Amino acid sequence: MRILVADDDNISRKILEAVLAKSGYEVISKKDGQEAFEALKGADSPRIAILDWFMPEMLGIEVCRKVREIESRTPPYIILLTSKDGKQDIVTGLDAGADDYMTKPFEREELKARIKVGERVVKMQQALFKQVQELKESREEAIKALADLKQEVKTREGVENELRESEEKYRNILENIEEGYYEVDLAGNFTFVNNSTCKRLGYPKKELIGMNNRNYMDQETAKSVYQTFNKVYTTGVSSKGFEYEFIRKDGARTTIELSVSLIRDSKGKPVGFRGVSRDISERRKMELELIQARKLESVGQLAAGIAHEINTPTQFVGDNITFLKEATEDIFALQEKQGLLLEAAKTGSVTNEIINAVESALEEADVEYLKEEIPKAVDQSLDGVARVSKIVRAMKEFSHPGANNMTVADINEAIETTITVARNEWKYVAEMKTHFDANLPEVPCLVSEFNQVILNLVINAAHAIKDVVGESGNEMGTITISTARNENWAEVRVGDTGTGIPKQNRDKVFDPFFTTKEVGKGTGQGLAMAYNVIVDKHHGTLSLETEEGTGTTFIIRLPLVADNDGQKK
Amino acid sequence: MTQDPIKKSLLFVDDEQNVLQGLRRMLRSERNEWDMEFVGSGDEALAIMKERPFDIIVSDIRMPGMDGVQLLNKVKGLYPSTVRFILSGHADKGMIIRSVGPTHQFLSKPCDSETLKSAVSRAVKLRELFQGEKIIGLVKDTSLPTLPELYQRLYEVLNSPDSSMGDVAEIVSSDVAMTARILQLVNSAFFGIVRHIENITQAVTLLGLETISSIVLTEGVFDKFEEKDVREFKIRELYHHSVVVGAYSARIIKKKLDDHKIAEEAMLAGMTHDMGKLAMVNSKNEAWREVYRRHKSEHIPLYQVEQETLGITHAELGAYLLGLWGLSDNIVEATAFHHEPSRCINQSFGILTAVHLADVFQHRSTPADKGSGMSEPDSEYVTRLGLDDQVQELEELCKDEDD
Repeated sequence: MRILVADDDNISRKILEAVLAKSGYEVISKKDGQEAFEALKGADSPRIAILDWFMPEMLGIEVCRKVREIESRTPPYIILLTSKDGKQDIVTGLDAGADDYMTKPFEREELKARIKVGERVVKMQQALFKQVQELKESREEAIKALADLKQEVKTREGVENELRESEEKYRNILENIEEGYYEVDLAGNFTFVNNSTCKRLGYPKKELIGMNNRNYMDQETAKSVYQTFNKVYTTGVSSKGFEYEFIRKDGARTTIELSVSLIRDSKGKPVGFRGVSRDISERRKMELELIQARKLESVGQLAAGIAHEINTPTQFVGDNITFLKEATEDIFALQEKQGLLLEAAKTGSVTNEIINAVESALEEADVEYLKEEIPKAVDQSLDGVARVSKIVRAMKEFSHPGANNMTVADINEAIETTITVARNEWKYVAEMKTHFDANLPEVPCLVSEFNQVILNLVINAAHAIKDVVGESGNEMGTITISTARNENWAEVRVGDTGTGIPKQNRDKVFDPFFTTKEVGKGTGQGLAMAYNVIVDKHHGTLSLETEEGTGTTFIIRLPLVADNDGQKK
Repeated sequence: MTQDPIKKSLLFVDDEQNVLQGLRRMLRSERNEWDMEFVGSGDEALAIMKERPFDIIVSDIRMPGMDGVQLLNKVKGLYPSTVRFILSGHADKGMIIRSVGPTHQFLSKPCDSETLKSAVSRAVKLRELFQGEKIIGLVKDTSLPTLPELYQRLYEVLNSPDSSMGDVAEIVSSDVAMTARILQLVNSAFFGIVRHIENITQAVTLLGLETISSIVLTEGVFDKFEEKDVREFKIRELYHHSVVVGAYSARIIKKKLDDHKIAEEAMLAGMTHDMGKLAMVNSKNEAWREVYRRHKSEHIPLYQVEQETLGITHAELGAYLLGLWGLSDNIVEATAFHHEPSRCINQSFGILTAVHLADVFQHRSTPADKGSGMSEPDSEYVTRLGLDDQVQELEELCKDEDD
């Protein structure tokens, strides 16, 4: 350990140097206070200093004070040397920052002992500092660890929030979707329902949870529901598209489409069912409205043609009646003259004047012409009136909103009606030939939808023929419509002499929106609708025979025996 | 068959035999006046027209083979002087609009005997009165030119989503050709309008923008005026003149008769009174152009040169077309006699008087027309109506309101 010795007295300093060196210390000697301070100021300064009180340049006590002013992690241990032994001096020295003091002359042993104390203090101080240092470091570590922890907590909170939000989102979706969502246990008791399910069945949620399915359906439905669910249970395969009629709390009935799949626990054991339900009462209603709208639309499209069909006979009936009125006036005038002639003949006073009057009346009336024309005018007028009433009646029958249930109908008559209504659409391009099987029994069908199908086929036939003969060609095509009984089917064939359907289009003709007509002329719905009506609703068949350049025949077959199931599904 | 020169010849075309027979019987009472033929198709019609001329053809529209519009278009080309009527039961607007080009008048089925007879009689009378056959023999194509800028503006307005009936009416009523054609359509029986309409705003409202739009776009209804054809003819001056005469005529009627409706009709009469000039210039008739040049260079009233050289005047042509199109007798009369009202049978104050005076007033304020004989009223007529003292007052009234 190095020790600073500062004394201006050479002898005293030498003694100190010698003593300390002998004790194994490294000694740095300074002759005045200023040098001593310089030596103590540096970073690597001696740890122990022995300063004489009286020194030139700077007193020992002054050096002491100034060293203490310097902030240092390892302040030196300072022993003041003084010749005075006044108490006041000692206090002043200690006050100035000295750690210990000795009076000159000093004893060697005391000096050694006091140095030892100093050494111990310095070491203790160093140890303490090291400890403090260590403590500081560990505190910083602790703080950092705490900060990390806080960050961790924060992150976790974020994840939890996200989780909560996402759960809330899905719950919200589930609660607010139009579709009903449900979970039931294996016995059919609700374990979870969303709002739509509640609304659909008309029960509050708390009443619905735990409720058995038999509470909101009749026995027959319950049986069918059991079969469906049982099948899902045994096969594990999900199912959908079932339609059931449920009974609401208020007793009203509602048609619901259902899907169902199995819920399994973590071990894979089935514990219940879940699925989605959809209210299709509204859809049913809209389907009906759509059919009616389509029908009205086609009546609208036909309206211009129908007006023409009515205006034309009205024209000639009016003309004929005007003619008959004038003819009647002429005949009455003639008759009056002839009456006078008769009177004159009776009294034998026929004059040339009377004869001339009759002759000129005869000429005026042109009786020969009238004889020929009056019966024709009457016949044609009657014919015109019949034509008007026929089309008015057909229109009424055609646009009548048909029953939603199958009724038995004379389809020959129905076809005749449709041909009449659509007359203006085909009469400029085609002749209409009909071969109706008079022995055809009445057919169970949805008449107004059947009419719609025939209308579509007739209009299509007319268009196909127009493509061949042209809008203003002089040739005419032929539309042939026949009916016949074919075992348990009623068969209707609608044939045209039109373009035929090219091979690549044959599979597509019944697809919705498939059309080869130019924009604005066809929506591609006609045959798709026909297919829907004949196949889906009547459980019949709709097929076609076609040859390019020769024409196309559509064949409708309707079952003569009503399919009991026919009205549903 | 020998043809009676006094009898008018009519040809009826319809694919429905019952209609033809009904017409034949109904019109039998006219057999001493009219020589009538009834055929079942366009081809037959053309075949019989090849043999002899007809004054009037009345055709159905929808027929197998050649339809009525195609037939009338052919007749228009081959026999332009034949008056062309449609008699159709069709309620399809599009078809009617397609037929506007070649058709003089539309009658819709069912058409009662009185309407049919009077429409035919009117056409016959117009032909006699205004030498229809001679006029058309000379003019042939009677389509009307519109001002390109007005046509363009109308086209834009019709295509703009926020244009109103008022905008359309304003443009139509400043164009002679459009005014006349719109009135023709609105007064055709097809549109089912019972009253006679002589008001453009009303006409535009009744027809609807869609119909007007279709008419404007239909080929063969309006021609765009080719200015280079007759350099001396200033179509813009004519349009300006027409609009001013229309406004003056309305003012004169309002002042003298205080009748809003008659004033409106007078406005239209003023608008259309020189329509014959438009048809003449558009017909590319060289003889008429020569006449026009003489009128310009020698400062002789146009109608006098026309009368002298061609034997017919633009006033007669205008009156004839307006009459065939079914515009009111007042308008036809005012158009026909606006130069020399003293020649008209009707010698009482009315629309003709207003248009005549308005025409004179406008010419007086046009430097080029001064002293050309067009700037003096028909003194015999004015005196007969006792208007001598009032002419100046009326002229001031017309011009005052211009300021």
